[in-house]
Amino acid sequence: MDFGAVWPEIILAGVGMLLVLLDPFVGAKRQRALGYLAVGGIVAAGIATLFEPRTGEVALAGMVILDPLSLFFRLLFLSAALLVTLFSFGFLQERDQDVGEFMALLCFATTGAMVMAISWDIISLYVGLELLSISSYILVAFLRDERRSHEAGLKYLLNGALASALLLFGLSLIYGLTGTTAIPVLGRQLAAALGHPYGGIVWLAVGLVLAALAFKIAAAPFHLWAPDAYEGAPTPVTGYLMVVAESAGFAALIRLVSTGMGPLSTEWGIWLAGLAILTMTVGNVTALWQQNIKRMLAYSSVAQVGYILAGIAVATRGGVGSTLFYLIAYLFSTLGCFAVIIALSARGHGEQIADYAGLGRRRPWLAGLLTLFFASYVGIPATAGFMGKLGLIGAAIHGDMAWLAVGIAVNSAISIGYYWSVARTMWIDPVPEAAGAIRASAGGSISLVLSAVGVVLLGLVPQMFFHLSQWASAGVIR
Amino acid sequence: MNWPMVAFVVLGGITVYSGWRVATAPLVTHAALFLAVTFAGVGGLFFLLQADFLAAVQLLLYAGAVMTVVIFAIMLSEMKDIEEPRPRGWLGALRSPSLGALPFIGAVLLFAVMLVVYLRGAPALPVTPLPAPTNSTVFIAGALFKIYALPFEVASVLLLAAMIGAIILTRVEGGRRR
Amino acid sequence: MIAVQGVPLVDFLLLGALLFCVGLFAALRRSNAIMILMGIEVMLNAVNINLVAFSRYLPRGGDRGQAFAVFVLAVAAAEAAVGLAMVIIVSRRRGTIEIEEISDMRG
Repeated sequence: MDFGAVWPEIILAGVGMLLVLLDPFVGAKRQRALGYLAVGGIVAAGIATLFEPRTGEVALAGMVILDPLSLFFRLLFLSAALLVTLFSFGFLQERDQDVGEFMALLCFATTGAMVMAISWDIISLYVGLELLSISSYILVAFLRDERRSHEAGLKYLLNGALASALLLFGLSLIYGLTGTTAIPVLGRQLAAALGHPYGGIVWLAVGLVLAALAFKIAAAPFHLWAPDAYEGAPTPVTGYLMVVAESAGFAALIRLVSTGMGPLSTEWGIWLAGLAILTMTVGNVTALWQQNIKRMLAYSSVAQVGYILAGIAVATRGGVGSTLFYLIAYLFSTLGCFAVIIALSARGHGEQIADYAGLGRRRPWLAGLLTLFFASYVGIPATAGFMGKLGLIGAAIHGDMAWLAVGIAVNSAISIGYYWSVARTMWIDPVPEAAGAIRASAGGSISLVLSAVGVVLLGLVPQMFFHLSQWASAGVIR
Repeated sequence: MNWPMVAFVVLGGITVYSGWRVATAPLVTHAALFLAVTFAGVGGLFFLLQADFLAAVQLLLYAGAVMTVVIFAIMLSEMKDIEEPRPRGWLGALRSPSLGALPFIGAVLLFAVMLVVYLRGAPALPVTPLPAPTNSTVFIAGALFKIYALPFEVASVLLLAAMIGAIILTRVEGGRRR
Repeated sequence: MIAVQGVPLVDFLLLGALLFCVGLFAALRRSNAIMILMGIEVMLNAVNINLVAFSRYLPRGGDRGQAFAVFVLAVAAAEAAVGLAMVIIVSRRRGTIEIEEISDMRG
């Protein structure tokens, strides 16, 4: 059997194992070497990705497909993993934590996400999802000495395992209805099964799968675990989960639902659209009351998930394309925000929004960049988020769901409220008396600059990325 | 006499009853024992279905390994509050300490939906199984190593990650480096 | 050798559904983390009943269902190991594993 189709995954998992092996032999002074090894592994996997075929070849006995979408998601996950690696190194050093094990788990989790995205079969998708999930549970609880970290880990695990069980029950029914696990033939078989007396099982299975995936991407009303997990997790892990774990959930939705259940799209389209509206509204309205910045961003990410779902709900190629574009914009805005928060969290700077008072005068650059990322979240023109939302609104109108477009616009207006309150705290409130020094680590600064460049590039010259995401969505709706 | 049906009803009854006791037993140790019975019952059903390999794995892995881990966790976690407040009467067992009757209502509704859907489909569903494969181990191995080679490898990475994670989390020295 | 002739597929499906709902009830009802994990294990067993029953009654693709069940078993074991490790660390630090009592975060 030829494993050439999964070189990037092999490299990344191999580097993860190497990190675990080397970790005991590397002294406290040389931890930096492990960080470089992880960065090197991620870059090598990225280069290997570029050499993989992208013409839609099915490999490994039908387990994976190497199409433009696979390329897109592999690069998306690797970029996010790279940025997270860069800003987590300083974070771990400051807290005297084990770099090798953290980076190894990050590599394993990213491998799982990539396996999910390239899957062309239910089982490899499921196993990839579990690799991502189990590694993430451990990463969330990584700071064992902090009460909030292991509390978050336990809650995330219990909710995640429950969602997995729902997903599996749905998948077992799908297998029973079709006699296969291959994604490309599911849709036709499920549509055929609808004509039989047992057609109801199809809706049961689709409903369970959708509910489970909604759990995984933290869509309302299945989002209740997200604020706790995101607030309690180590800050770099929060950024990682919001971007990689959620994007991987969307990859699964696109593979399993958009492609696999394509013939049933008139039904699940409406369900997902309702879910999208509910999610964005709940996320935005709850975010208005938050005092802790990570918790606020957690609810804001719930809202972003709502916007992104809208693109999938319309079930058109353009919709999936704008979803992909928005995922790039979301990656840069979110990881940028977290690079700033991590730079600030050095030496005990608080996570409460009130702690950000007077930041504009103390560190104008950091405050300015954070404002830029917020602007992108809201969708102010000339930022990545603006182009992303434009695409989603366009796709919704095109797909005869104008009310969804109205929902996105209204919600963006609501979201200004909480972003503005942080911005006002930073720029207008006075500097508190006992404000300590703030310094960003080298890796943190690099990821901060990269994210800012990404947000501005996507906002000012979006054509290239727009073409990329349209190209990647070509084979999704069959 | 339809002996397979009798075996099915007995095994299924044991499985579901002990599953129910997992949900309602006030003592965590009792719940764990009933969980072992559930696992064994499911193993028996696999035997009935002539899936010998899976039945053996079910007994070894679930009733053996997973149960050992559960019991270790119960002993190591040194819980003071090992016992839940005893429910009052039969109806008391249906209520959750934190969520009231909601979990019960939710589960019953889900089952009602499944029941209706399955019973409507029952006439069109197969009644007799296929002839059993002569060697169920070879039968599974064919799929596992020919079709599902990639998920098999990914699962091995997953088990490695889980093992590392369990060690990292429970290490006693508290994560400080030397 | 016992055989299953005489039991229709729908009976196995109903049993799987019942066990799944019982497991779901356990997972939602309990406030103790170990007991929640046990409920989830019951749900996963119900999934395997479904998979194995389908694999024996479907006209084709039977090997796929049994292989799927093997993956479910492996992943469930990994999940249980990590989950119980987390239970141990939480109980060590907090002295309890009642979800309500370990909740610091609100809002």
